[in-house]
Amino acid sequence: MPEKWIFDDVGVEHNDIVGKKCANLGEMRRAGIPVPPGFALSLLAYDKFMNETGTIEEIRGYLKTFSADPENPADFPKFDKAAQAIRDIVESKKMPEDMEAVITQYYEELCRKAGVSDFPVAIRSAGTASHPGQYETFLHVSGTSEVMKNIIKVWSSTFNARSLIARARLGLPLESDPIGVAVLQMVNAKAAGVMFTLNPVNGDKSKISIGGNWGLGEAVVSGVVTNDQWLIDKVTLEIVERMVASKSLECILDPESGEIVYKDVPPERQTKPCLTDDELLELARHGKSIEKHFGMPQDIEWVIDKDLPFPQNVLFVQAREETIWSKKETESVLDTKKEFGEYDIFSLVQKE
Amino acid sequence: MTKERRFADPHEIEDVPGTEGWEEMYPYYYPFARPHEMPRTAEYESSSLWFYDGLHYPEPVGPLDLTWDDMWHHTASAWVGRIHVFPTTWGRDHRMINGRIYINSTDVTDPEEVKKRVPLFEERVGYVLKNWKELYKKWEEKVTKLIKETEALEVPSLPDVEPISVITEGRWSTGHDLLVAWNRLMEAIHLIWEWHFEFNNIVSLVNVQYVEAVRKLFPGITDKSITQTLSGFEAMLFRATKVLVELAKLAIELKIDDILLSAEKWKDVQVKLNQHDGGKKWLKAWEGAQDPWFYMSCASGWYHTDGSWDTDFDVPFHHVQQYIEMIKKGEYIEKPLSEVLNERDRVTAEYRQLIKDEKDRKIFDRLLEEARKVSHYPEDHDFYVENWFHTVAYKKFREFGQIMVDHGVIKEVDDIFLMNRFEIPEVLYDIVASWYCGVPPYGREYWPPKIARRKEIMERFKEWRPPNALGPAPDNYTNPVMINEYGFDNETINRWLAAKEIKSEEILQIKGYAGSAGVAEGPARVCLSVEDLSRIEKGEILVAPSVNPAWTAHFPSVKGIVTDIGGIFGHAAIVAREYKIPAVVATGTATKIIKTGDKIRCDGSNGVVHIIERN
Repeated sequence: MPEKWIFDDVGVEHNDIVGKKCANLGEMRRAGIPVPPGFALSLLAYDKFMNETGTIEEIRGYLKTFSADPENPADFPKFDKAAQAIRDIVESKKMPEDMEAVITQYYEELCRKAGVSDFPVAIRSAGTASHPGQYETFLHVSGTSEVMKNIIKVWSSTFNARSLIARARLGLPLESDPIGVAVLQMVNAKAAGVMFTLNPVNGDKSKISIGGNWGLGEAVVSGVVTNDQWLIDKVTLEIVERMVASKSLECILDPESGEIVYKDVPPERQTKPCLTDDELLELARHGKSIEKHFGMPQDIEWVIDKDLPFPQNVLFVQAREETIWSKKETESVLDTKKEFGEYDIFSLVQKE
Repeated sequence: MTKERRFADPHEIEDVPGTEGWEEMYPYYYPFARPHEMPRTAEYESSSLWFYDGLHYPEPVGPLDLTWDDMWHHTASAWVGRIHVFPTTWGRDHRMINGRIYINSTDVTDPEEVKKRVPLFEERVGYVLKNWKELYKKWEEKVTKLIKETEALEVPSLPDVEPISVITEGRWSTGHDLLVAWNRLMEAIHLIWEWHFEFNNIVSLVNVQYVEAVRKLFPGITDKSITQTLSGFEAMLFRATKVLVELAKLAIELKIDDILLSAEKWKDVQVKLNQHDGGKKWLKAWEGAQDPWFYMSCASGWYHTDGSWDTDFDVPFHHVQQYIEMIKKGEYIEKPLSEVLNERDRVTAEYRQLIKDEKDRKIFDRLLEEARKVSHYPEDHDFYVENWFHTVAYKKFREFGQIMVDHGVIKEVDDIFLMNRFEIPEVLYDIVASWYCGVPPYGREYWPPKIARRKEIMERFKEWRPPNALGPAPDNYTNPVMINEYGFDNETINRWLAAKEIKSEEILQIKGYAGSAGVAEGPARVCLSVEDLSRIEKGEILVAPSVNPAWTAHFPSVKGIVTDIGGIFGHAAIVAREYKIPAVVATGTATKIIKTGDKIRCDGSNGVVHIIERN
C-alpha cells in the first residue's frame, strides 16, 4: 500500500508528516476545541506533486546557473527574480490526475458537510518547523479547480524570495522544502484576530491578550489597521483592559470579484467593539484549554462566524507556541531585601 | 537649570478671610509657627514635606473633634518610632492650617542610628507576627472591655445638696466625680488609640510587601484578584452590614417587608410594627442587633456630626429597606464562606502555578501566609475604634455638653464640640466651683460669644481648598506606611507638582490608582462633606476627597467613585470592590478639577478619570 499523503484526522504524532499547523489543528479538534472541518495534505503530497509533474527537475535545471549571496542585500533582487521564475514553473503545472481525484473526494465531503456545493475553503500552509509568515495562505477558495490551483500556489510559496533567502542562509537546499497544506471550511467571519495566552507586552503569563477586527483575521495579522485590543486575567477571566480602536478598514470577501479586499468600515461600526464580552470570555476559556493541552503559552488565530449562534460561532483556525517569552529562562523577579531594605518582612520571618 | 521641586511653604498660606485668630480654638502646638516669633520651629516646618490628610479629614476639624487627631499624632508615632522601632521612621508630626490637618512623616536620618534600630525592629515585629493569633485575641478582649467601661462611665449632675452618704461614708462632693469622669474619659480615649496602633503599622507593612511582590510577579494583576487571594475572613465592619441583611431577610420571612417599605422614617414604621405579631418579633431582633452593631458611624467616625446608627435609626432602617428590595429583586447574592474560600484557593493556586522560579515561589508563599493572617485587621480595628468606641465617646461628650447647657455655659449640647479637650476641664472646674459658691459660672458670659465666633470660623473654613502638600518635594519618597494608606508615592507627588501649573478647566484627564475595576460613565457629584451625600442621585459618579466605608448607604446608587486620596487598600477601594463599583483613588485633584454635573468616565481598571463634557 502506498504511503498516505492525505488525512482527515491528525495530531501531534503527525508533526513531521503534515506540518505543525495541520497537526496542531487536528490536536485541537481532538481536545474538544472548535475548529472548522477540513483535511490535510502531507509533505509527501508535495513531493509527489513535484516529482510526478517533473517540476523538481525543472527547478534543478534553473538553479544550476543561480548564484547569489543571501547575506548581501544587493543580491536580493537576484532572489526575487529566481523566486518569480521558479514559482512560474510550479504554478504552470497541473495537479496529477490521481491526486486530483482524491483531493476532490475530500473537498466534496467538506461541501457535503456544509450542505453547499463549491463551499469556500481556506488553504493554509503548514511547515514542519513553525516559520510564521514564511509561506502563504489563500482564503475563500471555491470549486474543485480553484482548490487545486491554490494548493499548488501554497506549495509554490515555498519558493518565495524570503523563503529562498532563509534556506540559503541556513545552507539548506533551495530546490525543495516540503510543507503540509490544511484545507479548512471557510468561516464567514464577523470578526477575527489573534489571541496570545500571555501578555505579549511584558511576558506576564497571568494574562490573555486578544486583538481583533471586523472581517477576516488578515487585517489584524498584517498590522494594516489599528485593531481592538483586550487584556484578560487568565485566572479570574476578568477583562482588565479594553482598548476599542476606531477600525476604519476591514478585510472581507468582495462578492463581485470574489477577491479578498480591504473595505471601509461603515461609521456606525467603526468604534463598536468587534467582540462581545461573552465572545471574549469564550475565547479566553478556550485559550486556557489550548495552552493547557499543549503545555505552553500559545499564539492563536480565531474567527467569529457571522451565521452561527453563540457559543458555536467561536472558532479557531491556528495555534502555535508563543516563541518570544515562553522560551525565556525563568528567573527570579523578587528581591525583597533590595526592595524593602530594613523592612523586609520575608527575611524577618525567615529568621524565626 | 532645574527648578527647585517645592510645594507652597506652609507659612505663605493665608487665613481664610473672616477667620482671623482661628488659632486660639486649638491647642497652641497645632498651627504652623509664626516665623518672626518662633524662627527655629518655622525653619523645621519649612524644611519638611507636609501632606494634607484628606483621607481622615475631608472637612475642617473642630476643636473637640481634633482630639482624635491629637491622639494618633502621639500614639501612631509612639508605636512606630519607639515601640516597634521602625528603623527609618520616628512617626508623624501634625499641624493645622485653616481647620485642616497636615502630616509630616519624620525620619531617622543617621545611618548609624538606623543600623542600631534594625535588630530591635526585627525582634519586635517578628514577635507580633509569630504570636499574632494570641495577641489579637487579647487585643479584642481588652478593647471590648475598655469600650464597655467607657460606656458605663457616669457623668454626674451636680445636686442641690449632696446626700448624707458623703458624710457617713467619708466621701467627697459630686463636683469631684464630674472632674474625674472627664479625666477617665480622656484616659480611655488615649488608651484606645494606643491600642489602635498596636498592630496597625505592621499590618500595613505586610500588606504593602505582599501586594508589591504579587505585582512584580504578575504585572497588571487587578487589585480585585490580589484582594481575592486574601479573602475569606469576615471583617467586623462588614458583619455590621450583614446583620442588616439578616434583618431584611427576617422581615421577608415574617411577611412584614411591605410595612417596612411603606414609610420614609423609622418613627413612622415603628408604630405600625408594634400593631403586628410578626412586627413585634422583628422589632425584638432589631433591638437585639443594636449592641454592638448599631455603634456604626454613619460616616467615618472622625466627626461628631457623622451621627451613628444608634442615634439615627433612619440610617440602618434605610439600609434594611434597600436590602429588602435587593433580595426581592434577586440582586442580593450571598456567597457562602466555603465557596469564597474555594474560589480564593483556586485563584491563588492558579497564580502560584505561574511562578516558575523556586525562590520567588517561596517568597510568595511566605508573604501570602503573613498577609492572610493579618488582613482582617484594618477593617476590624476600624469597627472597634473609629466606630464603636468613637460612638460611645461622642455620647459621653454630649453628656458633658448637657451639664454645660444645664449650667448655662453653652446653649446647645453640641456647642461643646467647639471647645478643645484642654478647655473642657477648665469649663467643668468653673461650673463646679461656681455651683458650690452659689453663683452662675464665669463661663456663662465668656463662652457664648466665643462659641458663636468659632461656629462662624468653622463655616468659613469650609470654603477653603487645602493644597495637597506643602514644603519641599523629595526626589525619591519611599515611606511604606504613607504609600500604603494614603497613596502618597513618587508618582502622586510628581502628579501634584505638575498639576500646579495647569489651569483646572483645561484638564480633561486625571490619573489616580486603579482602585476597583470596571468603567462607569455619568454625571459627577462632588461631595465635600457628609451633608453633600444626601444630594446624590442615582447613576451619578461620586467625587470626594475620600470615602469612608460607612458611606455605604449611598453605594447602591452611585455608579463610580473618584477620590483625591486613598491607596488600593484604603477604605474607598476596599468597599468599592466589595460593591463592584469602579473606583479611581488618590487622584489628588479630582474634587478641584471636576464640578458637579460634569460628564465623566471613571475607568477603575486603568486608574484614569476622563472629563467628557463640562457642565
